[in-house]
Amino acid sequence: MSKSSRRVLLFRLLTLLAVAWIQVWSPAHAEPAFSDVFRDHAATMLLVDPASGAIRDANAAAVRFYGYPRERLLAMRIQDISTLAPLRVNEEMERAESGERAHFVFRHRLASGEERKVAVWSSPLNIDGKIQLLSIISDLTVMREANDPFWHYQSGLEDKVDLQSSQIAAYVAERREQDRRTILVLFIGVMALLLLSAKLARDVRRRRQAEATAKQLLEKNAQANGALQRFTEVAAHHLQEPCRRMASYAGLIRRRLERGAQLDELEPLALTLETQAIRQRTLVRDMQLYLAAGQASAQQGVDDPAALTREFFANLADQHSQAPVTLSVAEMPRIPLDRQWLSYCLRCLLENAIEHADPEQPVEIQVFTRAAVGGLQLLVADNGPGIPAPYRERVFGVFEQLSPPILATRTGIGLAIVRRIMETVGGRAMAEETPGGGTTIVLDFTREDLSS
Amino acid sequence: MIINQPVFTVLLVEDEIADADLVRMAFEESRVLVRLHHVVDGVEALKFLRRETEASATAPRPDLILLDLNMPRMNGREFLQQVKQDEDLRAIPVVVLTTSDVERDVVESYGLGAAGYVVKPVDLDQLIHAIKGMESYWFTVVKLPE
Repeated sequence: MSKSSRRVLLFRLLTLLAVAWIQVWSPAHAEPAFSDVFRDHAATMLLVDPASGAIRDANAAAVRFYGYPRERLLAMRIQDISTLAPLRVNEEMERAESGERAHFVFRHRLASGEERKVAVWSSPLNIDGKIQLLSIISDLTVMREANDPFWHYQSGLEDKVDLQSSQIAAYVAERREQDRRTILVLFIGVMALLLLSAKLARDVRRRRQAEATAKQLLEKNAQANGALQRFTEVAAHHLQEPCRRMASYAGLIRRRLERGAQLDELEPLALTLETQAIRQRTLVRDMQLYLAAGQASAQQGVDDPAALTREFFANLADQHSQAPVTLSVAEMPRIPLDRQWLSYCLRCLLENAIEHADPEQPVEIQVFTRAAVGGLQLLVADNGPGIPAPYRERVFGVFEQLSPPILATRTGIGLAIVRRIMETVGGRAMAEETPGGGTTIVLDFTREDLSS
Repeated sequence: MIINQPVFTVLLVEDEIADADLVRMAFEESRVLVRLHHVVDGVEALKFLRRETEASATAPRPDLILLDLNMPRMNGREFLQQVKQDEDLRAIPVVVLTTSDVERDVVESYGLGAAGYVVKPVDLDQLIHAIKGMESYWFTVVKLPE
């Protein structure tokens, strides 16, 4: 047996004697004796809490061995000293506590940073009702250095294990780093995919909105084209009428002249010719107005609609009506329709009210506004014969009239132009019955999106 | 025997006075003797046919109706529909007399029961010729209901 082996055996014997002495002798004498033994023993000894690994006590040899001040050492855990993973340390402590194993070989880190291979004999000990591990530490490094030939092979194996362990640790660390990078790349990829998906979803949503808008515009355009097509057909028909009449009446005048007709006989025919020429000119003018109404604007509006109404009335009242005409104009707020177009609407509505009035009673016209959800309404109300309910919508059609035209300058397009102006600026034009009798034309400037 | 009293009665439904005068003059020029009654739209025409007006109370029932298509209140198409749905009036032949030569109007008018469709000629001579043609067909060739 070598010298170092004998020293190990001796050390073990001393430890066993110390433990036996503590456990066999009466508790009344054990505690002070253990304390003395523990404190003064040359072997390095620690009392460790098996549950937490906290170092409860350390003797002077332990303080010297580890190189920490006693207070600091007592504030540490065994996991802070051992180079094993804390989980492994816990497992070893459980084995020691259960008695499954009492001898361990660890590497302990000293205060200087140096690592030492140590043999640890650890046994559970009941102190004041609490189980603690009495650990006796023996420095194997010194022993190995002293018995280098004996430990050479073991040290070589351990060095190889250390090398393998460090390589494994490096590999694991590298793999972890790679995993971390992979996860980072995956995370960035997922985020990029999410962003791309969000962008695609937004683009799809915008495209759908654009398609819906385009569809609406196409439908609106198709409706407008259809309306213009119908207007063109009807307009062509109506434009032919005065031409045909002029040709017919010219032929009639020629026939009468060939028969030697007198001037007074020809005069009514010539008057009809003139009337039809005027009608033709008026038709062309009103058709131009109808087409231009598609460009009506509400950008500027009219701040003084009452003054504008009075101005038109002053020019109209004496021209058409046999009966006295009274106009009542209320103070009105700004009307959201450009002056040119509001002027046309007012002139048309005032002319209609006067022209279609009951000749047997004074004409009363009221122009006022009323507030409505989403905007306001401008109303022109008269006390005339009124429009029967079935015709109230129809009168807004192109060339639609309720009676044969009294004047050659009446083409039946006026209310159609008023409606087209209103629809172009997003409003409506409609007819109502005046309370007490008569017709009220409503120019509705309310907007559905505001009213809802 | 010379007949100098009109035998046939024609109802002219026409909103334009100048056109109504032309038709009347065309009848005169063509020397066709008819009683010509003139109303300005479909509403007045129905009242006349149903003897609801003073003028129609004693007037004989029209043998032929000359009908314009584009008129105020009740246009020619609506009038035609009303007449052809009326048991008492549906036998009266209705000839459309209009400026429109649009195929849709022609087809629609015959579909509603029109007996003929005449486009108003531009020239008075042509109108007189058309009136003479109607006279010879409707009042000579064709047997109308009593």
